[in-house]
Amino acid sequence: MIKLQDVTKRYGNSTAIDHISINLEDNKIYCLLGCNGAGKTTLMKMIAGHINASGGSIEVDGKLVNTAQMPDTVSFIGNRAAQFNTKLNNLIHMASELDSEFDRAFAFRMTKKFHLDTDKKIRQLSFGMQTMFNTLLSLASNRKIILLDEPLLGLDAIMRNNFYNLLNDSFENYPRTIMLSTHLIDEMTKSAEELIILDKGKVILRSTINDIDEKAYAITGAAGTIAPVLENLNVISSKTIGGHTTAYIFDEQSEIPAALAVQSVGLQEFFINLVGGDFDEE
Amino acid sequence: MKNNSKAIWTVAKINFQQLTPSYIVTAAFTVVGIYNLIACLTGMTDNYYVDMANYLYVLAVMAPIIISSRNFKRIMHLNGNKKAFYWGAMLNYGIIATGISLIVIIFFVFTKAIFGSRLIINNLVDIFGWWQHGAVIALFQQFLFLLLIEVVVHTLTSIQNRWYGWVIDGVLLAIIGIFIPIPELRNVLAGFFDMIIFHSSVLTQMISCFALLTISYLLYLPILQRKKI
Repeated sequence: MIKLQDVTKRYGNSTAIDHISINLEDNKIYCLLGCNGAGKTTLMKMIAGHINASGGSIEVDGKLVNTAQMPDTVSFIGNRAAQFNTKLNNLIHMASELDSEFDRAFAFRMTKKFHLDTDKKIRQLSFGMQTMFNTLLSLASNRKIILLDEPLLGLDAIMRNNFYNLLNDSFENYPRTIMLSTHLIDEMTKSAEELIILDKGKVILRSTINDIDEKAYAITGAAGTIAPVLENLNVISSKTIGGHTTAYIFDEQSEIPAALAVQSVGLQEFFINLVGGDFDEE
Repeated sequence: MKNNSKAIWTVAKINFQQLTPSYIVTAAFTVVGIYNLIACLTGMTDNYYVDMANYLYVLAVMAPIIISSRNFKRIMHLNGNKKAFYWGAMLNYGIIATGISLIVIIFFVFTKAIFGSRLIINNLVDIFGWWQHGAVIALFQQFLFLLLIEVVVHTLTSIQNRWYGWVIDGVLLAIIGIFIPIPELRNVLAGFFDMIIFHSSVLTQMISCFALLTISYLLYLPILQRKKI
């Protein structure tokens, strides 16, 4: 169980994480969404004890986390994490000797699945493949909590599909808490159970994928007709063009007048409207 | 405990495998030593020979710089832990100090036996006065001195990305800059080096080195604990 209580992280005058309080349950796959600079990587680093929070407290399994008390149940390897420039099989060998729980067989299976040549040095790989390798090291660590920072960065569609399958297989075989950040929102529905959306260092939404499917929709119609309907709904964003308004809603579906059109909203569209904010064009 | 011992050995092993820049620089210095020997023997220069084994001291300075500044993060990125790194690095320094001390002593013995009649052999164990206590004592004196150098360099390197690292650098430079020109302060500085290197009492020299290296590595502990990854 991960517990964040009023956690803040400041870099000089800028606030990367702004008073976040959340609890993450065991054995679930969480997807962390947010624009660039929303605080996703910072949040993960703090949970792993790689950096300290400026305020508040972080606990993993009831133990306080900071740089002096890094939890040995958490694995976090950033996608740009520097590795020794040696052959992949050497790196896997090193990782397995450093961590007795490391699943070497799984790591080598993954390298085959992702066509990673273990005789190549890490810097001979493309950026996407280096990211994949760092992800592999985390997943093979068999730790209870795996934090993956943009693990899909630089991967093509086929590799991404392989990754989701692998993540699901790995989770089925060894259930644990996995938190991953990504920009590829729609694809995450294949694996993630819960979404946490960060914006400017704050959690602006935490919900299950099913909940978003049910509650996220758009209403379109004449501005005059739509206004009274929206009064009782949770409007996340709206735009008005030429007297025609489209409002994005995150709420229980209710009776909508026939003059208005209701459409379901994809996860990506929902996210953009949630984080992008309101704007009106007359 | 058993798992952590394995991790400590692994950290040490990885560090030894990943010290290429240190090995290259040390090898380059050793080549200079070999050239110096050939030049002395062939009469290209005078017969003043600096024992090539002394150039291994370069490794004792270079290794902690690489381990502390480069290897630390990379080991952490392989799911290593700070505790294993702390003791693993110390294991590296112990092995390096032992190895260099042994090689320097062995080289000194053989160089004296083979070239003693033809060359003036300069070896630090002799210059520092350790040899007068015998080979075994000299080995331990040199070992502790090298370990002190390694640990101090390691600790200083680890704080170079912090403001207090630069303050300490400034203080050390200021001490050297101020102490050397003023005779009374120069004596203090000389006394310090006398204590850790030249002291006629073996125990004083060894205890001084041991105490300083212990303090230095204990100071590294909170630095490591606060270190970001």
